[in-house]
Amino acid sequence: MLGTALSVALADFRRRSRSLTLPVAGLLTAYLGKIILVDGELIVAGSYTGVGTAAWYGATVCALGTTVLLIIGFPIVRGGVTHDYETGVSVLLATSSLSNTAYIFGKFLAGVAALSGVTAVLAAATTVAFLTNGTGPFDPVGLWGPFVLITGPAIALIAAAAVVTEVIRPLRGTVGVAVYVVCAFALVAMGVNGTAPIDITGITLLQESMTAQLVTQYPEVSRPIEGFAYQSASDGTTTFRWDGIEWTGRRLVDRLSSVAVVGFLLFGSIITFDRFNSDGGVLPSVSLGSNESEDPPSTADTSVAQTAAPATTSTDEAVRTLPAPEQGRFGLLTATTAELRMALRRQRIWWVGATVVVGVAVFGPLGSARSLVAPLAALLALPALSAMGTRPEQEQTAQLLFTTTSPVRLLVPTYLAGVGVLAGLIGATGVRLLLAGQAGAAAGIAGGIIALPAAALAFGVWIGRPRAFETLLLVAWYLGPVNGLSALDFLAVRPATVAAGVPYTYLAAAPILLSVAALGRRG
Amino acid sequence: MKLELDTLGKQYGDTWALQDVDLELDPGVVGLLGPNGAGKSTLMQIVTTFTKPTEGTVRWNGTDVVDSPGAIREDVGYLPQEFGVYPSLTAREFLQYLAAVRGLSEPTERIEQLLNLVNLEDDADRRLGGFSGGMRRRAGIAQALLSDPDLLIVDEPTVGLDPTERARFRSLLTSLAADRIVVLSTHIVPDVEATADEIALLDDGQLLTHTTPADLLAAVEGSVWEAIVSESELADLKSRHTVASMTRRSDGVHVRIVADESPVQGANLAEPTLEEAYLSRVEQSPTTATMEVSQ
Repeated sequence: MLGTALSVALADFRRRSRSLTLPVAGLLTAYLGKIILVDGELIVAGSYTGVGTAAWYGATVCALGTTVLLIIGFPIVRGGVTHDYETGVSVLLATSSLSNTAYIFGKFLAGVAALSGVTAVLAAATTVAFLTNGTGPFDPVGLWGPFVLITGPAIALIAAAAVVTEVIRPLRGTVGVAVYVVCAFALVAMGVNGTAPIDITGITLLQESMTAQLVTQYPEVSRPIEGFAYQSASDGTTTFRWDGIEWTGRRLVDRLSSVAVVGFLLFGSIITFDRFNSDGGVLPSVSLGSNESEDPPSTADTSVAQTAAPATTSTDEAVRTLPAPEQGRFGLLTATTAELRMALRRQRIWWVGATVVVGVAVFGPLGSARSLVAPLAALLALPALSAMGTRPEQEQTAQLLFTTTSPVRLLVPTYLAGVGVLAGLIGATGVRLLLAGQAGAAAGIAGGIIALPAAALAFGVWIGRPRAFETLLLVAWYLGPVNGLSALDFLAVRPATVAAGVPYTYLAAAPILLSVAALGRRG
Repeated sequence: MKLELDTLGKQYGDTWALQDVDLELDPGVVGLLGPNGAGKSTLMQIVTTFTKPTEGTVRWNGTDVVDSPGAIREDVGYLPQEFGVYPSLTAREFLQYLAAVRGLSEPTERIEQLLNLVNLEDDADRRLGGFSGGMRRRAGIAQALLSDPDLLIVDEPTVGLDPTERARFRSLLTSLAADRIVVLSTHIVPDVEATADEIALLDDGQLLTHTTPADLLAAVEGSVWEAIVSESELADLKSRHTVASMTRRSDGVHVRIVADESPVQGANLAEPTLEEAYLSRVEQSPTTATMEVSQ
């Protein structure tokens, strides 16, 4: 079984390694290491930072790198099972002797391998930074140990989550991404507070270890010390010496506790895997992101038996009597209507949510419509938005569309459809804000309605897959509208965002993003 | 109308998918034949401006379409070998969408008649996600004809069609060819035999010949043999000659062989088919080709 799983993993890893995603992720993480170690410093207990030993370098980069990997690693490794569906390889696999266990485990291993590659780049960048800027002896255990024992289990968890959200049918599509991002943020937040059921980023562990050694050197520092801070390198900090984590048996067991969760996720994947049979599987599909056809797929041509092939003369006649088309202008209205149909033909549960959102936007308390329902509407629109720029590649219609007179102008109806979906969901809130004299807040809603589809198009056209935009928007959504980070509050649901003039930035960004999309669209 | 390819080439990495192809096409059906990897799809993607050539030019009615892709895009209808549809749209909505994209005004009547022509009138309001492969391909044929193109390029159009629909499509191609250029790429030689006025034979990215079916057949006249052999003789024959077809009967294996001289004692000269002419010509090319022989 292991040999078969390794073969599955190798094939998947080869495919991934031949795309630009992994090298780009590796370069970005290397740059992250440079930012952490050279441009800034980690602050403990308000004003203390560690001496630049190998252990300090390894731990600080590892903690922040693992946190970042928890977010960006997921879209990197997710898609292995979906790729087999999309390419039709699924038919070959489903009818082979390949066991579900070997397949799932192979996909998991491929994800682990891909993220290990990214982590290796980060560890290498950390080593270079230590050798050029660090102090003290080279300590391989202190430098690389955290990457193995902290990042390693996190990687396994990310890879397992990627598999389980592709295999369990309700989690396929955008719903799985949303669930993952919420869980990841919750784990990070609880990790900082020391209340996480699994210390996946190692932050709790590092805080505990650093606090113990800091208090020994500076008894005036009071316990407990919560959280880390990160700031640009400055001279106003006091240094303390931290010799790294003492890997006791209990700590090792704590680190390996996530392996049990990985095992649980993989077991869940194996027992619910429908072996590529859309009619099978343990759980029904309720994905918000899918816009599956309501018609069952035909296995045969239904019309063949009804009509015999006509003789050549009748075909001649049919061709001769075909009305000649007239070349006119680009059918913007028809194309936009079709794009709207594609965006809105979703399952009943999506329409229930949309009805509630629109109902509150029109009739609900204005404060709730703005601060609570508008952010939810952005989530509801996410599947439609993320599909916009990627549809020709995802649905394999590129050859049909990009051989027409001007493929770039196709972006216009696609964009208008995205604007239409968002305007339909939250446009009423914007109008009510305007009528209530809150022009700034109304501009915030308008900025979101205009800028989000433009961003979705730009990302979709350049990246070609919807998950990158979905992840980005979910992170921005969590940090902006939910947690009040003004720059990312794309709907200006907080008064501070309006006061800072952020809505006008989003309004100005829309044409720039559309230009970026137009540049990326093959013409 | 005229399509001219001049020293056309396309390189992927170190491999030339297409090299030094010169071709001039006038109205009529040209069958583009060649083994897998011969460069047929690449050629069609370049002509339709989906892919840019590495070298050479494509001229449509005298205009270089690499520099001015718009010159051919208004006039071309293209059915790719592999293409997708939007599963949430119905067949009629999909055609309306593509008509709008192509800038066709008042396309409703033409769409209805095209749906009839490809025998999808009863399924026009069903979503494409529920269509079988053959039905999707027929929707693809309809979209290729939307703009009444002067240049119709169809890549493996009959794959997935049942025999009835295949025959219907052959008739359609013949009817369409009267006043336009139709480029038909296929492995199915009988489809070419039934429809093509000319044949362009590609192998390993190079144009082996551009000729008429009659001339291709004449070239192999006297080189096709029929014989009845045993299983052991068959193995020997296969190792020495191209066996174009074989049928197992009670008196032995009936074979048709392409060879310059009588390949086995008792063999009789036979009337060549276009498929045998194709096999013979490809066998003579420098590259040993893998053949897909349709039955």
